[in-house]
Amino acid sequence: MMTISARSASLYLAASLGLAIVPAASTASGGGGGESMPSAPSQSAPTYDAAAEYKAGVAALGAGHFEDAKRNFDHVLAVAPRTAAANYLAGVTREALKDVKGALRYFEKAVKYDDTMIMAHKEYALGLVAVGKPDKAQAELQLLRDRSAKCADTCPEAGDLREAITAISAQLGTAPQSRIDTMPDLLFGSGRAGDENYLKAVALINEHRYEDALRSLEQAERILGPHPDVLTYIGFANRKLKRYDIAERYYREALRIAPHHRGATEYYGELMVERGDLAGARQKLAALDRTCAFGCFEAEELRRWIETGHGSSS
Amino acid sequence: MDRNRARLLLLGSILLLLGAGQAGFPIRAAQWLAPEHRLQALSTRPNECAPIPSQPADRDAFEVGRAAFRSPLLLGGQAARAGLSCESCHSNGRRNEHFKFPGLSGSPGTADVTSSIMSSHRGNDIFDPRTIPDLAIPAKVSRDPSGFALEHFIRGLIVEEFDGAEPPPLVLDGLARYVRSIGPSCENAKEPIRLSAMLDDSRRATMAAEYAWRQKDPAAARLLVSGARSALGRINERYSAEGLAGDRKRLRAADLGLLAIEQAIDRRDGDIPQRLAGWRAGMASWDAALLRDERRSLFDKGLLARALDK
Repeated sequence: MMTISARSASLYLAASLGLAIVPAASTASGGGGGESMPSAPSQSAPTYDAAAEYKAGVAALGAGHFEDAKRNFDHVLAVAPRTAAANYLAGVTREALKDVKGALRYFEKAVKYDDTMIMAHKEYALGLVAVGKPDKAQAELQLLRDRSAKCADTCPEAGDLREAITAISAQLGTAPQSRIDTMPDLLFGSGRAGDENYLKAVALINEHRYEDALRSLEQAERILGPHPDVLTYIGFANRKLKRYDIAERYYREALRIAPHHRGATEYYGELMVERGDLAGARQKLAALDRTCAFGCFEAEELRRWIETGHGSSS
Repeated sequence: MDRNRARLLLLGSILLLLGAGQAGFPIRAAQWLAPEHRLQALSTRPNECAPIPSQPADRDAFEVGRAAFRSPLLLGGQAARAGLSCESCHSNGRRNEHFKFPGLSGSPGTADVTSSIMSSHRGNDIFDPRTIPDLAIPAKVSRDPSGFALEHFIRGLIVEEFDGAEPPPLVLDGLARYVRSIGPSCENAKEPIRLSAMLDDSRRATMAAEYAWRQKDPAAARLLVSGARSALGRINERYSAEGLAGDRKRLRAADLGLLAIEQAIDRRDGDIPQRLAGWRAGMASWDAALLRDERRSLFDKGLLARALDK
């Protein structure tokens, strides 16, 4: 069972300051630097705080206020529809409201957007059994078994895989509509808390270990929801891995949630430089100059990219 | 532990984390101060203890270093994004005994300078915060100007410890001169943090920028103008009250004036010194209003205490 120490909470705050360490805190902002009222984690005020709504949804779900939770997650998904964790929790909420088919739709989306989310695979398969689709559930089970065999009990998600395989196997041995486990787990993987994962990702990015950083960021996103700082760094790590289309998608998603997010604006502009779109990069720089009252590092760094084709530490 | 209880604990943990980053307090520096130290650290600071050189050439270089020391844009990476400058750890060139950056500090006044969070060069995977030194007390790095050991050390801090860009030569030289000037015959007195001093920081930074421009170092000039802007930002944070919107507008207008000068530097316009002098002359048109309202701002210790209590 995960425990949260004071240090973990502190680490989370550190992440807030930067994420820039930047990326992470509950108010969507961005990548460090302030607009007019600097505060954690970054300072540009979002038009809609999806991370706060996600937080409210988790609280409502925990308190058994399922209608409220449903509303919260629906709002989150309206602005961040590809967030696997929010889809998963929307599914959990539907399940609590006895909307099995509705839950199934969200679990399906959760695994579509994050194929590594073992809990979502498990709930999806259990839901398929419940609605009388054992063949599809069997396919999910086989997928998890294959993954478990490949992992050979050495990967971080080995425990989750074992638990999921056991639960699905048991469910397939019972009649439809009789769920063995009626309360899906809210623990996303057996990993660490969002704060630790976030901060770990920042350090890994600084060490140029981008694949490892992505794994930590995915864990962070599952706990923190669609926080623009986390999305920005997922985009950043993908960009460093030359997956420009994926990077762009995450930058755009961060900016949809927080249109003045400094980190996302800067990094998106840098991506444009890398793609040779200097006009687009200059537009991003102009946006930063407009929103960065009293100056900010993000604008200076993008300016450097436009002038030299690389950043200050490249 | 049964599964439902585990779930509830997990939920509680998630909520704790989600709440941990919330901060409505407007002064950014509070984020890297120990909570119980914030009132003291935001209302007083050590005396600067860095005498201004009497010779004009030395004075100009000193002022370049002094302004760069206070500019977050000197550093790079996560430090710059968080808004940290040299001054964040070395308050007024001394030691910030209240500094507590979450994840990097142990007890107040310490920092882990070999963390991968801040540096892509010096991370050692060990949480080993050390006491932040008082720059008035010479340490192991020689300050002898003939050996350039101090310049080498400062460059390493900027480029490696904080992932910053290579500092312009004028800035590196100025920083070394400024640090050399601190101490050693310092009193351990404190001074209140006042608006006038922050206005002076901004004004002096523009003078240093003018010197840098005349020395044909536009990169240094730009950095120093950005330092002047940051100083205005630090003032603006303290004028966050509802009734001080007029002051915030004045500050933003002054900031836009400096942004225009930055852009003129980028274009290498020829009239940068005149523009900077004009900006300083224009301060008289707005600083009096701010000084008048200072007692209604978070420069007032009583209001600051109440804001921190909220």
